Amino acid sequence: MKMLPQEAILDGVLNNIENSLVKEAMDAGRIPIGYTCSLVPEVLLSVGKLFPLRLRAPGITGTQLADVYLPPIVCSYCRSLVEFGMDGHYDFLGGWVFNFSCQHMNRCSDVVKHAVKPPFVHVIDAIHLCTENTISWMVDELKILSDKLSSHFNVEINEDSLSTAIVKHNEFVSLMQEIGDFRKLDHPPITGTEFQKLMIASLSAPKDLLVKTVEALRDDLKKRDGVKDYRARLMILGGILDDPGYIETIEGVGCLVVADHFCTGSVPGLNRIPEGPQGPLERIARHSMAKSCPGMMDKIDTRLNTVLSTIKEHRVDGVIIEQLKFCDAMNYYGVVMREYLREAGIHVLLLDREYRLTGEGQLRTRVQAFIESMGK
Amino acid sequence: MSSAYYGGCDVGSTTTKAVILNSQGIIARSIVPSKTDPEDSANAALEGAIQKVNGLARIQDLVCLVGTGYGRTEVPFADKNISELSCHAMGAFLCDPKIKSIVDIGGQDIKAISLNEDGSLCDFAMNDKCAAGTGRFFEAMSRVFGMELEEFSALSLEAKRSVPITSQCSVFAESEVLSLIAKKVPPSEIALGIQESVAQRCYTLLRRVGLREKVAITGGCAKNAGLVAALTKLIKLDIVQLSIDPQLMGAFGAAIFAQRR
Amino acid sequence: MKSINSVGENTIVSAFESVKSRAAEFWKYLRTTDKESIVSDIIDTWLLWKTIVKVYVRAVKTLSKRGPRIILDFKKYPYLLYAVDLRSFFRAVRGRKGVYRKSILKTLETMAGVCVEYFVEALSNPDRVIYFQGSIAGISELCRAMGLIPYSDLFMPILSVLLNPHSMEKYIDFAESSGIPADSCSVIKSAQGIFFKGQEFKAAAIIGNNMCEGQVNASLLYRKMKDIPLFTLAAPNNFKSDRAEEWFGKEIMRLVEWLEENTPGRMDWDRLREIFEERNRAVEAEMELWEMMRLQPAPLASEAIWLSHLASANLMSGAKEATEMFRTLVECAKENMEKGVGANPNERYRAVIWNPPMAVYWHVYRYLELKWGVSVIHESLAYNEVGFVDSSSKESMLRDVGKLLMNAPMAIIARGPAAYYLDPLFSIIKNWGVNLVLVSDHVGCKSAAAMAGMLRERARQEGIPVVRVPIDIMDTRFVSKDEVFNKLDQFMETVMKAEPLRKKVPAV
Repeated sequence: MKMLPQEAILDGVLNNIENSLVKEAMDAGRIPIGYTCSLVPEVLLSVGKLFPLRLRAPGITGTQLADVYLPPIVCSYCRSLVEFGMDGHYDFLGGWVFNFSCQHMNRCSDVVKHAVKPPFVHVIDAIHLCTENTISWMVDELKILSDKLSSHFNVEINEDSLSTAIVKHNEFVSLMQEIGDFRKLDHPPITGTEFQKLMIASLSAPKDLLVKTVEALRDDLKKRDGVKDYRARLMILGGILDDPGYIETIEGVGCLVVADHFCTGSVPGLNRIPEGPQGPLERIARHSMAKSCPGMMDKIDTRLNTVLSTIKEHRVDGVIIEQLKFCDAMNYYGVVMREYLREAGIHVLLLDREYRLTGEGQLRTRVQAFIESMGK
Repeated sequence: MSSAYYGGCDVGSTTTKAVILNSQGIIARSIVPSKTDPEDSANAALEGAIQKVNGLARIQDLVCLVGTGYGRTEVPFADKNISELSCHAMGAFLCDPKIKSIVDIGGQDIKAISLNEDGSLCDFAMNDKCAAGTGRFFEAMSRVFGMELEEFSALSLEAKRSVPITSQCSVFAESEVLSLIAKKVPPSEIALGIQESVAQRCYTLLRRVGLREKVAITGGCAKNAGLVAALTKLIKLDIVQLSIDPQLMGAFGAAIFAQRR
Repeated sequence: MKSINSVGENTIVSAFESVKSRAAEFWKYLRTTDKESIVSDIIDTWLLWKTIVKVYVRAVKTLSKRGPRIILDFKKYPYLLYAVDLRSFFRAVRGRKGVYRKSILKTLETMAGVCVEYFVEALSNPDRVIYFQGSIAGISELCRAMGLIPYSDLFMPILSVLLNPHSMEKYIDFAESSGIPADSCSVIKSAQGIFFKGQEFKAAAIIGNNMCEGQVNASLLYRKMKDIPLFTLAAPNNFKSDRAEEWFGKEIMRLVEWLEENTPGRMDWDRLREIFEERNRAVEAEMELWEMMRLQPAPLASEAIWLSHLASANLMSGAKEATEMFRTLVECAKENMEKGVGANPNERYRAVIWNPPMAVYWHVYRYLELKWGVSVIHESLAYNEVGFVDSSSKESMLRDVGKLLMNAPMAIIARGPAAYYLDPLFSIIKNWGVNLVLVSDHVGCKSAAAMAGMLRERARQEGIPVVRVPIDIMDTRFVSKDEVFNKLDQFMETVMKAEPLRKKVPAV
């Protein structure tokens, strides 16, 4: 397939965390706030001069600095963040916002506070259950965060500014969903790799500076020929996957990734914040808490049903569950999910990986064997 | 005799295997040490097999050639490449359709495969990030004992009891073995401990994919009688004696896929 | 081939040699030991055997309530068999003398006796058993007040390895080969292995919780595997705040309502008050004991501190027996205090054990005492800042149940910011005159491992030597006993520049 004209822009955004769009925003006086988890509401970090950036470590080659504090059995994503933090890659950020996603991330936040010492750090204490009680707790947590952001960065975070941010968020999400819906077609005009690049780029730059590129991309895709020659339609399910190279390696054996269900993917990334009678902070809290996350302790049935309905809508032949080595949340969730999906008659492959792409040959062998086992 | 020849070439990390067959069955086979360049390895193995067939002069004369193994994309003139997992499954199934579980112990990895009723791949698990328990590991261990592999294997069969080897890593396991030898622990007991530690790894992988009989071992390490005995004892099931060289199973399966194309 | 006769002869000869050598040892002991010490040793030995007999008599009486069903119990739950031979358990006192020995015997005796009663109760009343993931501090009192039997999925794994360090290996292997990641905590894997083998005690309900990542994950599995009601309790990460306590108190009320709907349990608030008041009496005695531990030399040490707390918090919180045990320990401590002697006559170092105790090699603390003069003064699973429970009202009790749960053993290791883990350690160091920190680096506890760097830096700043011992607290195959003991020896020799008090410590 011919490369998309926007791919160069997207690659530029992906390969540098302090990319040209981020610099452009900063030159205009805006402040980037790095965040680590999809339960951190981007919307809250998008008010006034603030803009959110999903923390990544593109091009990382090792974690020698981070290893002083975090041992190899801690997830490589956390170690990579600490590495980049200690190495000065994130010095341009105005602050860091964590969520208590898991113990690895909890300790990552401790080490960041201890060794990186950013000017602003906050850890949202989201409880890993989705009940009315925990939602009300989350509303309070978000209130605490918004008060801190307001006072530290001198921004006005109130009902009006939040409502505006929600509207903009939903508009962008709708645009992305339009593109995501192309993947449901028999011959999608966009590969899984390209879509992943788009998703990650949207998390790595101010959305308002990217929106024209995304609109142009959508328009070009409407005219583009679809992918005809593929062996199987796959879904990727997992945790933090922000390297499109991983999907590229998977697609390199002749399959097409048509759906995803991981932290930086379309599910839960492209869910709109629903309208409702509640105030914006509560709507945001509900939206965050409803996100499908392996770390959550309940509603496994809801999560399973979301996965099954995605499989059906996208006519997925098989699911690859990818999990970061030593990720406690995914390691169990992956095993349980695999059993559930197999019981539902879905082909499943469970894969371990590191945060940065390694062992491509081994990955290709496994994916190829998986496709062959489906008879494709 | 039919003049349609089909080939399978399994480019592994330690050895490269080639099998040529026709409608009568296997007519030539070849095993060569792998070179740095997988294409060279594949060439050498295929040439070695082709030389044994009167009607064949060159690789291109094969009606269909399938490559497998880690170097499968480098097999010259291959019509297709198929994962070694599928090839081992196919090969073992053809040897005995009752085989449902396979453990393939190669030069640098261990794989466990479970088969469907029709011999297709059902599930698999691999340990290819660590050489512990693989051919390399056994080579290192037999070096420590100053023996050839066959001797080492026979030694383990003499032991009445084993000494557990607790190190997970083959480098540290080697140190541990040296310490045990220095403490004058009977070598046969150490050898049995080594076989049992590898058997345990195989068992863990087999359980992950669902252990069902019949069970087969493929790959070069299947010729290690001590390992076969240790695994048999652990899984409490008999291990099938394959009708062709287990080391050739991947190449054989690839050749069958070539034939079926 | 040797003849049977010669084999028999060899056996008789070796037995004779063994008796002869023991007799020689004993004669040497009599000749070289003063009369006072001999008398004291005789009393100590008598006390040991008296305690063991007492425990077995109590156990037999308790087990006889099960009648012949006990045979089936041992068949169905084979790990219970490890409890039959308690010799290694009680040999923890070997080398410890006088009042200190008495205090450890009291701890072991109480724990052994209560355990047997606990298991018989749980086996006999499965419709009232509530399976709880992890430590049952807080939940224990709540369940008892509701007429329910709280049972932690970690009981048997931990108790078993205290009795036999190899006891959980097959369960760990089974869990791993069933798909549980090998890098998970082996305490959780042991519990899951028991579940996967179908050897868990029958229960009316399961309460999942988020005490640590392993438990969060285990609850996913239990949810899938078990067809019994499951309630999930999740506490805030920053649990040391009024806001968290107030919020979590409401969750506890939700739990009570759920238990009433789904089990035969009914809350008796007066009973809960009584339980808490008894617990407060035990805590009062424990606090007094901790206060006395500031003395140098420490009047008691080691198991009298950490094992007594573990037992009371998990097995008998709110029971009179816990209060009695702590009061006995206080009396023992006072006796030593009045005599001006320490538990360890050769106390040279005062250590705190941080991270989960080395369950599989728990005799290491005795080893350190006898070989290097190290007294274990405090320990992270024992130390907590909850103190007394406010039993004045329903709301205050619910809140404090939540507080106990959130502050359960392991909480500071597994949850909360690093300050929850580091600050108490350095507070203990300062307030208890500790000059050595021993960190059991349990593989699988990633949360603790991730704080190693920060702990190291702070300890360096404060001039406190720290030794980290890599270990799997449930599995001897990761690091052997010799490796652990050698590591400690090397540390004491090279870093502490200590001279050993003796070449060899008699084995347990």
